[in-house]
Amino acid sequence: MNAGRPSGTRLHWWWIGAAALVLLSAIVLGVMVGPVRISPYAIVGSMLDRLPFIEVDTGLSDRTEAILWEIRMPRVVLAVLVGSMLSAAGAGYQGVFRNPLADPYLLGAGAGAGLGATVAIAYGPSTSGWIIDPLPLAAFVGAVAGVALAYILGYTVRSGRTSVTLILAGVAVAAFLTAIQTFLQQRESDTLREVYGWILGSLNTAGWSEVVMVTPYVVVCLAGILAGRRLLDVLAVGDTEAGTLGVKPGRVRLVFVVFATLGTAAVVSVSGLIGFVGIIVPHTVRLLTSASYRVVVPLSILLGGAFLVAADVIARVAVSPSEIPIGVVTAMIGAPFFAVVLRTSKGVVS
Amino acid sequence: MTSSLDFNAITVSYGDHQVLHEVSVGIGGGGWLGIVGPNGAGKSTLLRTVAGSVPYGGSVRVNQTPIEEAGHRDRARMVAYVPQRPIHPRGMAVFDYVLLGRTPYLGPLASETSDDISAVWEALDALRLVDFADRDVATLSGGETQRVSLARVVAQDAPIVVLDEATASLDVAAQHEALELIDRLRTERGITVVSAIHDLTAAAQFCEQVALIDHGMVVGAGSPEEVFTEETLAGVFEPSIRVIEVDGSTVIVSLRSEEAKK
Repeated sequence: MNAGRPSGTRLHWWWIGAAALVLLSAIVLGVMVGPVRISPYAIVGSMLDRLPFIEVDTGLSDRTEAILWEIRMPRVVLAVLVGSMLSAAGAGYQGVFRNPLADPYLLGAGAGAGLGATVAIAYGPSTSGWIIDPLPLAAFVGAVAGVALAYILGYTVRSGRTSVTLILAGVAVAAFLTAIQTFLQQRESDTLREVYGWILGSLNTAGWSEVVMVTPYVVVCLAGILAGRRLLDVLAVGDTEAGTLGVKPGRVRLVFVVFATLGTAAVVSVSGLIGFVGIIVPHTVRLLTSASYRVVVPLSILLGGAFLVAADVIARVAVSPSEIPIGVVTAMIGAPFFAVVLRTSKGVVS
Repeated sequence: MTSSLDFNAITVSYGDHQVLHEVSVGIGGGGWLGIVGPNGAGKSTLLRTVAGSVPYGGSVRVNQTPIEEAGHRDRARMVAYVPQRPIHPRGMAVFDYVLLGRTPYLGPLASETSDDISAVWEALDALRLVDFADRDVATLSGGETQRVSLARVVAQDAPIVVLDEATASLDVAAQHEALELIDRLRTERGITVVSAIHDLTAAAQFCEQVALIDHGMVVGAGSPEEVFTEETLAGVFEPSIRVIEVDGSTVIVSLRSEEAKK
């Protein structure tokens, strides 16, 4: 009767197109800005030139091409991967916990990664002696272990396995791991600056090797979160009703937490703990478009990447030639936004 | 085809506290079974067993087949459930909310087909909600919200519908309208309805069968005329309850005692 009439929440193609355009613009801006200025036309030309069967004469010198492709591009690509992953993980966490203030570090991924990184920096062997840099590995293992610990704790609570007990377990685990991390940090005060720098996040060591390292995780985890986004809308009616609609909320929550955690652990292992991205990007998408996760997840992936590239540009140029930690930039934008969300939110759904 | 529903020796405990004691009651296909009783009697708990949202002993049978043998999604295709206070998420469009009713027909990674979309439009049409399709589900009135919940139930297309005091928060007129709507859906679609009802008069007027539960046990089951006697009700509720006839309908009221009036 009314079939075909558009209604409800649809992911309009022009939304996707607009978000993709924003992302592309951010990428071009990110590659353009720096001590050596490169024109946007040359950047787009050089990008096209790298595609098969297309040849474009950009007029760029070999040195500028090297700056473009060996220094700036991997950093920008990594920013896209990190921003997209943290935003999708944030949206996923907000969905499965029905809590608009949930972020990817909710269950202890951040605290675990921080502890892992601190241990690697303070006690790890010098990087030169290892084939693999122990810092990202330790941060990755710490993040995954933190969430696993919270999950085990949350699911062995006698009073019931609810999302609230899981969040509380995450809070306890995060507080515990942060306490250990602070203790170690104080004992090994000569490494304080390095640990502190890592925690605030940075992309200044980014190279193609980091991109290659995190890409498989990000692709798989984003695909997982994207594929199951419809189920996040089902969970919005609460565990009991979702259960009567044929969904197993506990299982869905576990699957999303696994994808969100692996992806988050992978990106923070190379970027450090960049905060607020996972909260402000999904909320901005919600405010601009729809509350449905069918829309929030894909647009957060595109705009999260764009946001972090833009934040990294500010981090690079604001006090040039030195850099502001990117976590500071995202928090300086994120904190006021967070306050607005808190003020307009009628209450945390529990 | 209609589906019968039978509770077979249902036992539920919350910790050490036993809430239901071997409750056995049933209703034929296309009928309406009202579960009545005082607060805390175990009505909601009994309904949650059908929905599978509480662990229980005994068996719930649909057309004599134990529902426990069915998978999670198959169970959702057999039974639709509206809790006492359904959650209507802020920011969700009415259309999207009703679309959730199609969840049992979709695999974990599948998307809705045009058949699912048609089912939603049909459900919205049946509940006179077509013009509400794009409205935020959290901004509707009590009566409209009730219809949206029923539309999701219709979209779920299950032969058995379980309503846990779904009309309790509505005013008298809206409650009556909602009950009429449920009755129309029942007769038109052959749905079997099981509902917990506080309002005994409404139960007497709408239910074919009623089960009176007290302290987790069935103390009376049968037609409203058989169960709603002053003697039975006085034993469960209070001595001052009266069953009267008004224009051929049963009305059940609680009278204030002479002592209290003084």
